Amino acid sequence: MDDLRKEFELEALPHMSALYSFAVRLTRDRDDAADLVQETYLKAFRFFDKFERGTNCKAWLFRILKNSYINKFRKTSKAPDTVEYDAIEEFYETIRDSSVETSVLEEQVIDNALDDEVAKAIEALPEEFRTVIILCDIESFTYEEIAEFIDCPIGTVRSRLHRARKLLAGSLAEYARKRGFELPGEGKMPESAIPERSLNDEH
Amino acid sequence: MNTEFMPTDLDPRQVEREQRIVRAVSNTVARRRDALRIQVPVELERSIRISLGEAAASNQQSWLAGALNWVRRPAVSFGMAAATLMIVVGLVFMTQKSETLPAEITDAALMAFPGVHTGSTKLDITSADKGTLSAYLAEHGVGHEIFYPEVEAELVGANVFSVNGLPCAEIVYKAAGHTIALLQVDEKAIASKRVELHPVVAEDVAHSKWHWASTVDNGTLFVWKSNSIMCTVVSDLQIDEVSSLFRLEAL
Repeated sequence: MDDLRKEFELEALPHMSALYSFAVRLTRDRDDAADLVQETYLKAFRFFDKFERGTNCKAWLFRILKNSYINKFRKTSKAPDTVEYDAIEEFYETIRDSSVETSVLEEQVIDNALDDEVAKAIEALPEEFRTVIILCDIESFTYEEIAEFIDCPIGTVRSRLHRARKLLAGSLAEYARKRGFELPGEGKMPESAIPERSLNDEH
Repeated sequence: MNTEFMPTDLDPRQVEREQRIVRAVSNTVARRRDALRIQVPVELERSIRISLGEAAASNQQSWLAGALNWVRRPAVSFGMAAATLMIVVGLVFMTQKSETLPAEITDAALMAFPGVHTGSTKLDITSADKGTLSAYLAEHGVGHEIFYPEVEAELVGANVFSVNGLPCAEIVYKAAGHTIALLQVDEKAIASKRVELHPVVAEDVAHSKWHWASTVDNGTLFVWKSNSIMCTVVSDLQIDEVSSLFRLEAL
């Protein structure tokens, strides 16, 4: 048992920060997040003999956390979207980009975002978008792992990520504006941040 | 597909710019990975380590290990040890379910399931006859009528588990090598707080009739109430498979 515990501690405990961060962003409450992480570790330890050695322990822990979260905090789990629907939506999102603020952003504005702004922008995302951004861009899970985690086809993962990043771009643009950057035509936007065509040019 | 808003042309520059912005967002978030992580509170980390230690210790100090250690003592004669061992082995089969399960019903059902599924926990009684099973369960302290739902699976037997000290019936079905274990608890025991049902599950059952969830191993936890019996199914089958085996409208 000591060996098992040592192995578990070596494999599982290094992911505590990732799990806790994810739990905080999922529950939006630090006490609930702490309960969730504690429960996750106890369940994981109980079922550690079932963990397939050599596979991704972090992904396994995240799955346990998600199941605990659904059991504890969500009354019903949403039926998975179909890839067809998301593919169509992504298509529309792509062609209609002039309708959102991302069309007036350049990479420099995004690059210059403050850590706090990025954190707030992520926290403000709806859960399904928040989840994929955290899993992909912060926790570096593969599309396959994310698809398994959210129980959706890979196409849906790609689509959600694309939409989530566009929403983030919009939020970061808003923060940039508050920090003194202005939209094209208002005179203060750095040259390199002015898009080739402004929102107004589209209409 | 609704083509009402379908564009007649796509501006490649616009699409390319959007891709660039999306990539920039991804890079920006990834670069701030460490800053975006929220520090784990020291108390939480400490609490988890303590809990793991307790869980490991409680497994280590099982009564069986204690009994075997006693048998190994030099002071105990060989004959005595052999006799004791036989008694211990007998006790394993007779009382392996005497260890009480946690008070929360779904936790209890989940905890009991692996042994039942793998066969390491022998069924207390093996029979497909409902009358035989009910009589056995009643004799062993289960004080309510046993509910046998209509399930497209073979009824193979039953167990009596102690949930926080309360004898509770678990009836077991098999379907193509898969296990469906149904733990039954009298609603009165929940009302009197002798056992508990997680509030979220209770709310689901009260408002939506049942609670479905996937377990850690992609199995199923399914809870509903039949008359005054709270029924908790745990299975290694997935949710859609379990739901297809039950006649849900009859539950």
